[in-house]
This record gives sequence, structure tokens and C-alpha cells, in this order.
Amino acid sequence: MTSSPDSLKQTIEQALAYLRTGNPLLAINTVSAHGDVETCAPSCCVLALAAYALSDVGRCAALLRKAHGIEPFCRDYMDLLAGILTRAGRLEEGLFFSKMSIAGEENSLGVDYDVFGLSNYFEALKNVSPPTYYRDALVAFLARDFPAVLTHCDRELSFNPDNAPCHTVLGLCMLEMGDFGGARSALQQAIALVPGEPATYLHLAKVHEKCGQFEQAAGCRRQAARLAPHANAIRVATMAGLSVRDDAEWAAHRQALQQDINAALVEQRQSALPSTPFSPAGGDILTVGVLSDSFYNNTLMRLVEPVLARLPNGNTRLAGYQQTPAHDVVTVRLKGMSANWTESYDIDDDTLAAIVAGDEVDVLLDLCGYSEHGRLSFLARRPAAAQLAWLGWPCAAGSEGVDGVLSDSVLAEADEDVAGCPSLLLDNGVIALDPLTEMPEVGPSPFLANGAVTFGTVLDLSAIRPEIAALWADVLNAVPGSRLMLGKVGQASEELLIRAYGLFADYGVSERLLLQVADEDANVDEDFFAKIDVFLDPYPYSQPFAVAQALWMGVPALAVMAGRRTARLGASVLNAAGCRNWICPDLDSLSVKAAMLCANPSGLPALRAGLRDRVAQSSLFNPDRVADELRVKLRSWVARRRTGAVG
Amino acid sequence: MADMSLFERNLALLQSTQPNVGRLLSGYVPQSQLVYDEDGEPDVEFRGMRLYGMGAEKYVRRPKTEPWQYPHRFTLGPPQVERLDPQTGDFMKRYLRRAVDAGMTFKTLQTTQTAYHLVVLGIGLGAHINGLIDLHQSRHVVLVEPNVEFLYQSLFVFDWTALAERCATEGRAFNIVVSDSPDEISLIVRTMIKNANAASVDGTVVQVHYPSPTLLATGPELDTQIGLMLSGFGFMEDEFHMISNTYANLEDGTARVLKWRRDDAYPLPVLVVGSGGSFDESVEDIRRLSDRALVVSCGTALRPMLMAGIKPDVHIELERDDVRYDILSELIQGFDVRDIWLVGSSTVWPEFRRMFPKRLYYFRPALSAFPLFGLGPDSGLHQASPTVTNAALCFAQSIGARQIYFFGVDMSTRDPNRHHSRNSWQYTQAHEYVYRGGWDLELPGNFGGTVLTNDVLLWAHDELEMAIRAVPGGRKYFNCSDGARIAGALPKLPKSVQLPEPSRPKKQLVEQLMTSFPLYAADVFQERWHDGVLYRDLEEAAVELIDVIERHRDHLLDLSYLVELMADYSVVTRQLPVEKLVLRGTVLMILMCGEYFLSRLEQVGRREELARIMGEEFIRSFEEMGAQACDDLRAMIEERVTLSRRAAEDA
Repeated sequence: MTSSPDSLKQTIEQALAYLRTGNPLLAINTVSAHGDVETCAPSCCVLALAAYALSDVGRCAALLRKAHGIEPFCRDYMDLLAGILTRAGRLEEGLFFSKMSIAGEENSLGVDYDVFGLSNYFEALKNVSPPTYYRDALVAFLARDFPAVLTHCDRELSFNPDNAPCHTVLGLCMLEMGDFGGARSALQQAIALVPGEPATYLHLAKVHEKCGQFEQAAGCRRQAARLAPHANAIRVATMAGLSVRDDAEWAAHRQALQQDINAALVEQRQSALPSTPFSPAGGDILTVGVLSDSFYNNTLMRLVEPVLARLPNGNTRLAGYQQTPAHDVVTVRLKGMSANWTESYDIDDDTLAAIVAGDEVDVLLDLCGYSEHGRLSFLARRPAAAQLAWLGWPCAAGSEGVDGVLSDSVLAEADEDVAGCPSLLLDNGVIALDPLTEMPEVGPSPFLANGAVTFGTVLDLSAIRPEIAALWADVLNAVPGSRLMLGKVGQASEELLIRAYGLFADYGVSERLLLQVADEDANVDEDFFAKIDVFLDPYPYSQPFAVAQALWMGVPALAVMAGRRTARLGASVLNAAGCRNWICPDLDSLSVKAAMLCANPSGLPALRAGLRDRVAQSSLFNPDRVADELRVKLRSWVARRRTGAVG
Repeated sequence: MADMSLFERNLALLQSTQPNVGRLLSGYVPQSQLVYDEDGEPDVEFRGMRLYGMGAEKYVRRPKTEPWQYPHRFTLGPPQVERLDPQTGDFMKRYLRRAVDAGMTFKTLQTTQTAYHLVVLGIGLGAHINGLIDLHQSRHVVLVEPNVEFLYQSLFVFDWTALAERCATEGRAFNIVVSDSPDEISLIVRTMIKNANAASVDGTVVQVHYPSPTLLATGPELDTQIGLMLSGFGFMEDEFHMISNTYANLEDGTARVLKWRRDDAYPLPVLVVGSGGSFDESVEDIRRLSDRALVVSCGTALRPMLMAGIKPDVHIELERDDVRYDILSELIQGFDVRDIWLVGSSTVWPEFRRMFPKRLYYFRPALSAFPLFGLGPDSGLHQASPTVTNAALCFAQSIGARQIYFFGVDMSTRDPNRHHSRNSWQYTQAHEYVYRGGWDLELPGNFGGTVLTNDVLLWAHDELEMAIRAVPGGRKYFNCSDGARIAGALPKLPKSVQLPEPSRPKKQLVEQLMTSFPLYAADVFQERWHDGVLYRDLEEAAVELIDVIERHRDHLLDLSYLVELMADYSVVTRQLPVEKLVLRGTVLMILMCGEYFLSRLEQVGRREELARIMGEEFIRSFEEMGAQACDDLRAMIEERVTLSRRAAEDA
């Protein structure tokens, strides 16, 4: 649509009137309806002012530049640019446009664009205030408000495209949101701008891992290590990366890496301030400290919060150390049940050690492990009488200052593999859940409708490796006509789906692969468990919460008790649920167990109907039982630790 | 059954009357849906879970089976004459004498359901709101909802416009608070109640609507803050002292006054040093850092610092009375403090100028001296009380300090026998100090565990946190004190603090800063004092108070007189004029005492009779206040000016 100068003037004046009365959206609609804004400088100028009204300085400057490009001699656009850029801290550019405008000409429509008083250069100089978009993005990221991160980063980068840390935050946000392509691109941009920042390579390595590109991930980690050969943070991140690699690689590198990390931790400890030594006697009250970066609603908290909630009693109290600012209703609950609570993420190691000593923590349970927010150097200071690893990927067992690991009969063998780290054995399991009241009643067996067994699993598609595909192909081949449904893959990239199909095709079973497609309104969990007959715990990256969900929904689950701790948590859940017969002692037995379980598929509906009642009675859904045992054993462990009998 | 026209009407209402809430709701995309039972009553369903599990009306009517379903009331202890100002004490004695003589008796707890303030924790679908207002006849209703989803769905089924019309007609007001943090909700609710009518805090009803963890945690949190709703109002005689001291400190045009440096970043970090018990453990670190920071001593911290060989750059004072001056001047004999800058409230005792010739005054915006003599918002320090440490923090903020470190700012004690530094005046033989209050409150310790505190320090602690929250970003606060944890100030062991060398000699940076503040010129003083027009304004304000009571004397029980008075004496929308700030504290206390006993009358049928007595005694007290105000204030000003001039000559 084209227009006459008169009608354009009318439109622009109308839009400016909307801006003056605080209606930027109406101003945008008005100029957009009038014609092609791309080639019309007055329209670009109005859109710029609307962007300013909507707190988007970057877009405002970009649109003003566009208007200036179309009509380079117009003084109004140059004055506005001078004002905007100066206010935003771009003093040189502001001065440039301010000087240029002296030789400029009045705008051809004869309208007054300065609705916000931005054209006064000297006033702008008095009000220099760089935009805070990047800082806002960082805060939003820490609070896990990812849509807000995208908005703030977009605004920052449209104004300041060379802000490498902002590209990094954007990449991390996209990684969290499952947009791996976007994450990769943002992080690569950050590296292009600042090639010497090792942390960015570590982030990029994570993205590659999520895409199944393990060699590229390893390359990024090597580069990070080259850039900072003595940084323990790099080694710790490498350890975390190893947790998603296969057993052979884990076994090959873990020990050496652990030794390097511990040596550095010991060195750091030597330069630390002297901390308050814990009392050898201890008091009647047992104080259990918990250090976690997950004190909000997530699957890890679903597994531990029920136990934590039941630990405090007349002679036991809780102290929480929160390693990220993310918070929600779970945080409120946990704070409410704790005698002491510290947001520890910004506190230095020496001070945090003093706080833990001040809280008189007898035993500190670590839920961070080697994660980005972990506090290994703090643990190495040994602020509490006893320090135990609990969960985390991988957990901190074996790290300097960690005396032991919470374990059970399934995990113990793997834990013993971590040199010098004894286990505190719990008969009732290391986790427990409250009844999953959000889940519906157990539904009919899908076998009845399909006439074939449907296996199902839930995993990060990037974690599927050829040997896992081979393992599951064996399972499918052991049960004629069966299929395997991959659950919750709605957000997986096409790249990963193609890769997954390719892996299964190599073993001739890609035709038997199903992807869960749930209705938009449906609950994905409910839908998934309603569609499968048997759940397969993924290997080597076990999904303990999914195993518990499966059992609650009447779906028998098979899990492997082999390899390291992160691979065994599903088996640990089965053990706690009283379903030991579904634990496979090694990888090869998985297909055998599957065949046995499905040998009489007509028995599956009855099994499904009775399973919830059965597991509801078990320790898995009896957090009181688990907490009672944990309380007693922690007390005993602390007593032994104080006398030097352990650790 | 969703009613779009109701939704749109409601949304338009909230957009105009509660803009923050309206903004939140206008672009909101719900994830839940309304479901209806067989009787057509609504409920909210979110991923298979229902809010009520029954119709909304049925939920409101269901029997009470859990403790949280019962309303909770704020219940203050009885007012004690010895802790009241003379005017309120006289009022109470006369009021109770007449009531007792008439054979009236009083219960410990309220005997009526009426509550000026009603706090509803949980809006849900709103079916309970009108019933609660009916039950408690509340004039000020705060509706709290942690889950915006429910509030959004309520727009389809609850008539918010009818509620607004009802409130307008009946002289009530309601506010909506949306937050999922118990701390934040408590802070907002507390501020709303305090600003709307602090005289009616007693009896406030808190009702939980549904048992979310946030709402259940908010109730107890609010309970701990009742004292804070009543703090900081002063009283008439107190205000006379404030005005008189300010007059004497400023009248000769030689003092400097503070002006906020909002856009400047001060190049030195600031050490705010208090005299809490932990001062003694950190003294070596303060000494180590003192060449690299602007060091501020807070009131009683001056002596222990001087004894430790640390001379502060700035000394802060806050209190108006002469005792503080007398003690300090005696205890620092032998130390030369003349090159230390005094940064004092304009209301400090005028003789301080004898000790500190270099003076900078700030105004306290909550006091009458601020609108009377202040030079606009930039000359005031908000949150600069109740302790001198609060003032020190605000001073550090006002000069543009980017890094502020607290040392010895304990706001508490771990050991009730060691609540101050061992060299502070509290532990000197001549002034051995016995703290008579209890250490009966607990706060989380900065370095772990819990610490003991009291009402005043809790208030001071709260104001520190508010001050940190109030000043925008770009500043970092570190708490190096082994006392109470302060939200917004990162715990940091004193030994772990490292500061860079200053870019220029420190002394030069300090003097440059302090001499950059303007002098308070004598002609400005005369202009602000305006020939003492305040005396006339005070008399007129007392007459207005009496007029309100006269007009409502036959229906004091409906609390409408409080609504009208609070339109003049609450601080919701504006800075109060000088004369009202002078009278406010005493007026609020008198009203509070009146209502306290009225709501506890055992003979409920005689409430009208007691209300009449209360009204008559209100009028008598206000008449007396108007009559005595001018003479007392005149005499006090004259006395302080004489003292100040003599101190100036001595200095």
C-alpha cells in the first residue's frame, strides 16, 4: 500500500499523538497499517519511539538508524539518535550524531517527533544511564525465568551485539529450554567475540553432548583445559561431563581426574582461613545440613523432599544451604521445616564454613556433586563433623572432605568402587516419595488394546549410544511383536530424532520404535504411562523418578544393576519398592528378564491392576520409614566420625 | 459458563484501581480451567488437581476441621501508662476511671468480631470475601494471592466491580497483593496496615483461605512483625524536641547539610562500624582496612574505636537528648576528635558542636523537622532510624558508596551479658548499663545459628534491610558482624575482606566529599521558619481533630471516624504537613488506647456507652494538646538556641 504525503503526515501525527498519551501499541498499529514501514523513514522513526516507550532502547536505536539511512539529511532523526545513544552510554556515537545534526534539515512532513524530550543533547548528557538488559538477563537466568532471559538478551544484543557474556547467557538459557541449535549458535558467537574464555567452551561442550556429538564435546573440553590448565573448575566440569559417557570412558579417566581435583582442593584448603573445629563431643540434638542447587520443584527434590520433611523431630533438626537463587513453593516448604537456612551461592568458602560451624551442623549431606553450582572446595574445608554425598550427577563421593556416601545394597558395590569412600548403608533405600496424588487411577493395560507388548523409556535422546540401542534391540527381539516407545520427546530436535532412528536401524528395529505423541491438553506423564506395558530404565543415565512413576501407574519396570552409581539409581528404586526380581544383575540379563516378564503377556493386566497397592506399602512410598532409619544411622555415623572410627 | 463480560468488567476495574495487578492479569495466559459442580458452583482445575475439590461456595461453608481454618487476630498487650507520653497517659487514666466508675470491666481478648484491618490470605475464586467483610465489618481489607492463576480465574466468577462499589459506598478500601514469597507478602501487608491506620493494628484479623505452603508460612511471619507496624511514630513532646534542636543547629548558617549524590560513585568503600559485641573480634581487621576506606563510627562505637587506636573519618549521631552528649563528651576526654566530621540528624543535641566543629546535618523525613526545615527529598535520609547504625548505612548510600561493609553491626547478641563492645560506655564503671528489656526474640545469625534480639533492635534490623532494598542496584553490601543476618548484605568473615589501595590520598578524598555539601544559609532558615507560622497551624490542627470526633460522636462504633481521621494522618499518598507530623504519634496512641479497651469491654451491650465516654475524652485530650503546644514549643526553642550559641563560643 502506498500513500500520499498528506495521508502519511496524518498517520504519523496520529501515531505520535498515541505515543504522547502512553499508547505505543496503538502507535505501532497505526503506522503498520499505513504502508511499508521498511522504506518509510517517518514510520521507522515512530516505531523507534514506540520501542523506546516499551523500554527497548536497542530496537529504538536500530530503527532510528534505519530512518537515518533512508533520509540521511533529516535533522530530527540525528537529534533523536544523539539523545538516545548518549543516554545509553554510547557517548562517542551520540556526539557524532549531535555534531552531524547541525548540518541537517528539518523533516519533510514538518512534524514534531520529540514526544519524549529525547532530542536535547545536553539533557541527555546529564542523564547517561546505560541499559541494564544484560544484568536483568543474568538475574532472570539465575531465577530460572527463561522467557524473561530471552527478552532481556534480545534487547541487549539488538543494542550491543558484541556483548559476549550476553551471548553466553542466551546460549545457556536456550540449552535449558532445549533449543540446542540456538544454544550452539549463541555460544559460538560468544567464542568468536572472546576466544580465550574457557567457561564458554565448557558450556558449548554441554550443548554438543545434548546433541550426541561427544567428540566435539570432548574437543571443547580439551580447549577449555588448554586455556586454563590449572583451573580446578575445568576438571570438575570435565568430571560432570564424564558422567554421561560410557562405563569404559568413566573408568579410564575418573580416578586420575579425581586425584587432580583432590590435590587442588587440598592446596586451596591450605590457603583457607582457619575454621572453627567441630566439637568432639557433640550435643543431644543432631543437626543435618543439606547443600543443594535444586531446592525447587524438580525430580530430584521429589525424591528427597519427603525424607527431608520427616527428618526434623525433637532431637533432629535441618539446616539448608541453597546454591541457586531459583525458588518456588518447594523452597518455601523446605525453609519452613529448617531450623537454619542460608542462601549460600554468593558466600565465599571461608565464610560459609563459619556459617555451617555456627549452625552446629553435625552432618552435611551434599546434593550438588560435581554440578556447576557444587561447592567442592568448601566441602574440602570439612566444616561439619561428618560430610556425606547423597545424590548429584555424579555425586561427590571420593572428593576431598567427603567422608562417605549414602548407599543401599544396590548402590554399595558401585560406591565401593570410589576409592576411600565408605558407604552408609540404608536398608530402606536412599530416597522415598510421597504418594503421587497428581497421577490418575491406574488405567487398562495397553496390551489388551494393542495385542502386543509396548516397552517404554524416558531419556535424553542425546544419551542413546550404539551399545544402548543394541541392548534395547535385544529386548525387542526377545519379545516378539513388541515395540519401544520413547517418551517425552516432544521438544527433541529433528537432528536427535534422526540420530536415534539411525542407531536403532543399525540393529534392525527402527520400525518398532514409537515416539510418544500426546494431545496438546494431555498430561505427558499420564499419557506416557497409559501407553506402555513395561518401563525400561535408561542406561547408564538412570531415571529413578520415572521408575517410581511407572510403578505407581502399575507399569512394571526393569533396571540394570551394573556400572556406576548414576546407572543404578533405577535399580535402587526397584529395591526400595520391593521389586527386586525386576533388577537385572548385568546388561545381558535385561533381555532375559524382559522375555520372562512378557512370557505370559495376558498376565500383564492383572500385574498392572495390583502393582500400585503393592508398592504403596513399600519403603519407596514410606518416607517415614526411610527418615527414621536415616536419622538413626546418621547419628551413629557422626558419633563414629567424631571418635575417628570412620573417614 | 465462563462470563466474558464479567471478566472484562473486572479486568477494567483492576487495571484502573490496582494497576500492578491489572498489568499482571491483562496479558496473562492461564494454564488452568474453571470446572463446575452439579450445582453450577465453580472450582479451578490445574493438570488434574482441583483447588477446592468441591464448589467454591460449598468450600466456604464447609465445617472447620483444621487449625488454619480459624481466623487469627493480632492481640497487643495492654497499654501501660508509664510507657506512654503524658497526653496519652492522661487520656487513658481519665477514660478508664470513668469506665470503671460506671461498673465496666475488660477481658484480655477482644469481645467483638469487628476488625478495622482484615488480611485474607488466599483469594481463590473470591466466594469468601464478602462474607468475611460482613463478619468483621472491616474498613481496610488486604487480599493476598500467591497464585495468579486463581486470581485470573476469579475474574470470570466473582464480581470485583460489585465489591469495589460496595467498598466505596460503605467507606471501605481493599488492596490486592500478588506474591509467592511469605517474606515479601509480610513486608507489603505490614506496610499497608501501618500506612493505612496504625492505631487499629490491634484486633487485625488474618484469615487463611486455602492451605498453600506460602500462605501458611505468611501467617506466623506477619505475627512477628506486629511491633514493626507500630514503630516510628514518635509523640508530640518528642517532636517539640526535634524542632527545637533543629532550629538551634541551623539558625546561624554555619552548618553543612546533606545532599544526596545520586549519580556519583564515591571512590572509597565505606566501613560502617557499630559497637556490637563482635566489634572486639574484628577490631584488628578494621584497623587493617581503615587506610583504604571511609570509616564511619556509629554513636557508642566511637570510644572503643579510639581506644583501639582507630580514628574514624566520620562520626554519626542520631538521638535528640542531652544524655548521649554528656556521656560521649565525658568518655572521650583525652582523645582529639576535632578533625572528625560529625554527621548528625538535624535533631541532635545542639551542644555536639562543642565537640565536633566540622558538622554535617541530615534530615529525617519521618519527623516534623523535615517538612519544616528540610531542603527537599535530597536532604533527607529515609530509614535512618531507630539506631545510629541505620543512619550510618543511609549516609553511606547517600554519598554514592558502592561497597559498604558492616562491622560490629550485630543488631543482636549471642550472649545477653555481652551485647556491646567491652570498651563501649555500657561497660564503663561510671555508666554501667543494665539492659532492662528482654532478649526474647530470635533472628538467624550472620555466621550461622540464631542470635537473640529485642523489639528495638528488631526494628533497626528491619530498617537496615528496607534501606538496602530501597536503594537501586550497583551497590554491594557485606555483613562482617557476628550478629544478625541482614537480607541483602552478604555474610563475610572480617579476615576475608581485602580492599584495594585508594587512587588518591584518603584524607583528600574524605575532605573533598564533606566540603562538597552545601551550607544551610541563614536566609534560607528564616524563609523556612516563616515567622513561626507553625504555632497557628498546630492550634488549627487540634480544632480539626475535635471537629471530626464531634461529627461522628453518635456512631463511633462503626469506625468511620477513623477512616476520616486517617485521611489526614496516614501516609499512604503524601508527605504529611508539619503540624500533623507533630501531633500524629500522640493522636495515634490516644486513638489506639481508646479502641483497645472498647474492643475488650466485657459488657458487650454497653459498648455505645463506652464509645460515648471515649469520644468525650478524645475531645478533651485534643483541646489540651492545642492549648499547650505553642507555649511549650516556644520555651523549648529559646532554651536550645541559648545552649547552641554558648557551645559555638566554646568551640
